[in-house]
Amino acid sequence: MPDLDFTGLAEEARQAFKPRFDEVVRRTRRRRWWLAGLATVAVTLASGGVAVGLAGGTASTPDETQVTRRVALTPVAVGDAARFYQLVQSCDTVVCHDRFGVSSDRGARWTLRDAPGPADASREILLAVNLTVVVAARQGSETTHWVTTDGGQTWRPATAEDRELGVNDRIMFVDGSRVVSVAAGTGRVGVAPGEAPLKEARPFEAGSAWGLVGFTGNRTGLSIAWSVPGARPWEVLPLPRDDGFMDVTTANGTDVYALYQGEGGIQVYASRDGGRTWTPGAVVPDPHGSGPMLATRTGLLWLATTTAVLSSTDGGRTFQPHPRFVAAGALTFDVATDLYVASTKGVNPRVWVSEDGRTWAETPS
Amino acid sequence: MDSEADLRAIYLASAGRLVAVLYALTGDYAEAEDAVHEAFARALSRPGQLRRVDSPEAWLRTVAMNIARTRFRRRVLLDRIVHSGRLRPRSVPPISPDRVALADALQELPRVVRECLVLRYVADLTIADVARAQQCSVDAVKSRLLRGRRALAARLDDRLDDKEESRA
Repeated sequence: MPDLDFTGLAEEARQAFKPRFDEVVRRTRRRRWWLAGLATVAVTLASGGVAVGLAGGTASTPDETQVTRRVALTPVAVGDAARFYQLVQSCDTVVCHDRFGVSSDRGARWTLRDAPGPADASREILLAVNLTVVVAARQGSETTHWVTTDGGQTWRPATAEDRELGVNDRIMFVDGSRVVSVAAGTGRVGVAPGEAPLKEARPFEAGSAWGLVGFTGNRTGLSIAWSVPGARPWEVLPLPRDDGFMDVTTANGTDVYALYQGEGGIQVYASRDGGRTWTPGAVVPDPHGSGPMLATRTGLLWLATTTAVLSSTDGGRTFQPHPRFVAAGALTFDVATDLYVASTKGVNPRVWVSEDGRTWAETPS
Repeated sequence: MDSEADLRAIYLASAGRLVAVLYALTGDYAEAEDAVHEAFARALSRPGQLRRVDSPEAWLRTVAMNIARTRFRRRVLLDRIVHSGRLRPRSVPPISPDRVALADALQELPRVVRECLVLRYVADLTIADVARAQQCSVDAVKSRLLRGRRALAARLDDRLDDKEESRA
């Protein structure tokens, strides 16, 4: 009979908590600022100042209204150097709707369009490349993948076809033992006929290569797998260990970093030969053990913990807090050619962009 | 009661307990912290709200749970869609693996049963208070607790067996 020690769970979880009342104050300030902005809009509407779209009673196109985003449901997905996408929830006084946010100026202004799928579906952006975006929408036990090739103006349900991975394909996920991809530009979804190189795998950003991280066995043998579109078959290389894996990142396919949850914090491992050999790097204290990692082409390694965003200039051996992201909340990174993006979700979403992976600017500034 | 100083005192006294409850409910420590911070931010941004309640901690727990229900329903569903059986970065506190296993096993229970167990055993509410919180009878709470404990024990037993098999 296993131990159902709820008291121990409650006590240890309570002790792990580090009070941060400043975070409450910060959220409150932003909430007041946001509500004040909303009140201003309401007053303007009441006085008939802006009747188009937002009022909802005209024949114009409310689904194309230029407005500030509401609650961000997902991190920003980067289509290209200018085009960002994000699922948001937009509420009026009666009802909330999920909307598909599109920005063509790096997040300075957003256009909210109808999100694909039924109104009460739960959605996630699976992939964005240029104007091609795939959104998974689930309603009950039904999941539909929706594809747009015009930046969210029109959507169609994806129908998968059996075909080999092509050079224009981006991997979306591994379904069972099959790699599922979408072709940038056409939005055609393909299921590769051969067995995927890893089980229970997910893709990771690997520059011009395809990268997968998953298991070789039954939840054992955690590994990464590389392949170059049309050039070489999958190469499977073991990661440092199985337990506690959190993230893997590379900017060039040679310098690869793996992140694990360790005893005293989160442990970084580095490889200088594409994942053939690994050496342990810094152990970063993080009470919550979260954190995506981002390797950039200028050599900087970024690590977003729950309490700070850190950067390393020595290949993950040491990390320093970065002042740009103080009190930013949980960050997520995304990458497009020549652009890095960091974003947060929630009521007060924030977006930072960087062209060199070194200096970041918040947008709108 | 609702000034920033007062709320800070309530925060220091109760936020840890609330995070523990939300962690047991969601299985994700960062998300639990986020929901609790959001609940406190709502309290601070609505002056007078806490003055009207008998137990600020109970009110904050309810708000945080509502935030978690709304926010995590999406996440859980989407995890099933997108990450089902696949690797996904998780956020767990630095606590012993047995406790993490218990929190993980709780996530496999139906929401109403999970909430019942967490309110009773982690938040330490009386059975009558749990019944009020869940708007059901005391007998229903007892039944959920019994079912929930049995289901949890079975799940943890399975995990133990799996671990031993993989060692062997």
